[in-house]
Amino acid sequence: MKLECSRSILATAFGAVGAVIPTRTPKPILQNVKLQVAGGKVTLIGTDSEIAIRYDVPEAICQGSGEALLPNRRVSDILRELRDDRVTLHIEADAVRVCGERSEFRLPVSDPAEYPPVAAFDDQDYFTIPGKTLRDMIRRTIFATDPESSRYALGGILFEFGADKLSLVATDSRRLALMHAPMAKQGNAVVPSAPPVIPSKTMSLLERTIPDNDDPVHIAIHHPNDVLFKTSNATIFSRLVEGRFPRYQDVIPKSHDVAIELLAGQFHSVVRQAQIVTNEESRGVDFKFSDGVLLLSSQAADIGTSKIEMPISYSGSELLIRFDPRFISDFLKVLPPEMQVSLKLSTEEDPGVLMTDDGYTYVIMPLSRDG
Amino acid sequence: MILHVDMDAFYASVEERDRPELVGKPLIVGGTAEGRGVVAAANYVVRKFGVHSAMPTATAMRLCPHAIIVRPRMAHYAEISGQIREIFERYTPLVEPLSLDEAFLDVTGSQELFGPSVQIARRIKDDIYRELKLVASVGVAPNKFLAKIASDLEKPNALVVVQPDQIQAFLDPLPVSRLWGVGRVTGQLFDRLGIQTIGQVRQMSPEVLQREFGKQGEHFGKLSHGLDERRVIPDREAKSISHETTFATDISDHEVLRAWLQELTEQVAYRLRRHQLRGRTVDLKLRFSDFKTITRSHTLPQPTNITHEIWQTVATLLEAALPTRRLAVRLLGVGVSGFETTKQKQLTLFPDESRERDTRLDEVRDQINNKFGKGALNRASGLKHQTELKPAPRPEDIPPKP
Repeated sequence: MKLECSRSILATAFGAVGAVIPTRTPKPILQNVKLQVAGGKVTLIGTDSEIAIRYDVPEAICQGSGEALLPNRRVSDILRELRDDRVTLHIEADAVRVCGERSEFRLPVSDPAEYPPVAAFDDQDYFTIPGKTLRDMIRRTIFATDPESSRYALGGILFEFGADKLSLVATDSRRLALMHAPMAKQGNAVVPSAPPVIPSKTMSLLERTIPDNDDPVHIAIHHPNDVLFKTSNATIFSRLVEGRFPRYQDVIPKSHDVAIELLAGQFHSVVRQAQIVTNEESRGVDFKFSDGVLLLSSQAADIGTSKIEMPISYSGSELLIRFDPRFISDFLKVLPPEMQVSLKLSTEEDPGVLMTDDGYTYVIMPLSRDG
Repeated sequence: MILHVDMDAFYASVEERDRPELVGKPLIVGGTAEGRGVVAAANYVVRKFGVHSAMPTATAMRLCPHAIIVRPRMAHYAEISGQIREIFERYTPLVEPLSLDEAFLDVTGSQELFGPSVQIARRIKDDIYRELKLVASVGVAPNKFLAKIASDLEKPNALVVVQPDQIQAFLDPLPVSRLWGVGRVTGQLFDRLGIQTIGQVRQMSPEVLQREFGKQGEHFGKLSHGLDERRVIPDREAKSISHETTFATDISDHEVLRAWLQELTEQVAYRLRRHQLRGRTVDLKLRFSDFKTITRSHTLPQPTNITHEIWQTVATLLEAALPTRRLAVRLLGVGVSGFETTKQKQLTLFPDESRERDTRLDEVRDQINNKFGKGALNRASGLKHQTELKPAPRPEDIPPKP
């Protein structure tokens, strides 16, 4: 079996598959990438037994068919270091030869029969959503997950399927990000009885794998165990997170006393300025909303103080609330600077809500101001 | 002035106090010989036979076949340790506990109120004896290093004072092994150089010390002049709270290590809660049989003093750290640092039920333990053999840095 392809395309493919491959594992076989050549199609497979990816390598010229296990780290290193435009892989009985124009590497290979089976996307019933939309939804929620929480459900993103709408929700219990978008069904896709929670690692892999176009992503939920995503060039399998996701609807405020319209870029700029004078002990920035002006002030022992003003369209009673500026930044940095956001507040102890008009809601708890 | 208060044969003395029939008989507190136990404490009668703590009970029984073995009651000792501490705190808030049976006290500021430091030392000794029927040895000196030597010099029931103008006369005749950081290996090095006493170390030039002992040389030089600038750091002022223990015998059994880790975690978490501190960074310290020491730390998303959360973190750190070196473990330590300032508390969107449950569990446990003694309520994984392995620190593990 022999395969010839662009070095950079193959390196990208190894990069995507390598993101799943464990660096330390009790099963060394998993440190290989499985190469599958069949019907002129070249696929790379990687898994850590929780997550798996099948990645189709485009524009490869191949001869013969079969399977082989390639040592991921060495092959990735070779592909990174070679300067050639094209590389050739010769798969032999007990070795792979990776060849550039002036270099040749011969690496022993393991028996592909020992590699665990990796699910393919065979479902007839699934949900579909445009790739770019799903990618945005992931980017706008994944930062609010808490993969280190002892509450495992907070380490993932909740997928809530409505009749024709998909919502992604993530929270670390201090803030919550929610985004919804239209979705379609294929076949007899049924809305799962309990919304699945998908590990943030899977989500970030998917986000990186979705190509920059409107090709749909297919989602098949195998309740309650796993999920499969299919993009135009990859299939990702993942186990679902166990554990109960908090009742997030309850914490999204139904009403508010104050609403302020802001521009994401401008608001982000002042928040970043105020954040300069904070540290681990004094994380908070005071946001004072008064007639026509938002005043941000921060102070931290041994660092100094800051006062930043920003004109706003607001007239009403003064409101002072303290937020962790990092949490506000997390929201603003995933938005284009020209995007309009509205900030809704009630009291200094109630959550603040940031919203855009494209279905994105972010709820953030303030820091207590006593003392 | 600094006081070092060290209880005499603490565990054994507590047992003798509670069971007068044991007085005058050779007494070992520790595990049984059959259970491959270790001597946790030995009273002065049995010490005459050459029995000392950290010795396998089987060896001790060969030396003194008629010795009486009593199981350690750590919870009970911990409770008494708390009572001793209350006595200390009558005289100074600057109390730095080193273990259940010893502590440093800075009484510099207390002399106005209670008279000279020697008098304070005597009052503490008397209070402990009158109220608890236990005997302490006390060293009084201008710094920690000297106070610690002083308390040990004439044990038991000793009160040794080192006045600032007597430092050299006090130190010079002592053997080098009394220097903080000199263990068996360093002791042999000094021996090879023909150096036996601290006075001789004091005569050595800084260059020679540096050449022979590297960084430690400077430290030995300072100590030989009686210089030690470490402060007495009470818990509430501490930047971190930690517990560590050196095993009597190096441990390679994973489960035993985990059991010890759990024990240390409980102690650290309890102290955090007592001082109403929450820390963000959890540290694990491991020293291997070849003396190489590694520390691993992990910063949590939010500060904690919940036993369960600290435990999960250190347990994960241990799992990750152990395979790096396939050696038995000599010392294990757990610490929490990065304390929050309560001023700015991040509010949460919804209650964390498991966290609240863990907090309540800790509260109930603390209440029960405060009332009935530490260890009255224990996690099922707390293993009996832990106390049997209760070690006495090995001299070479005393930190080399002042």
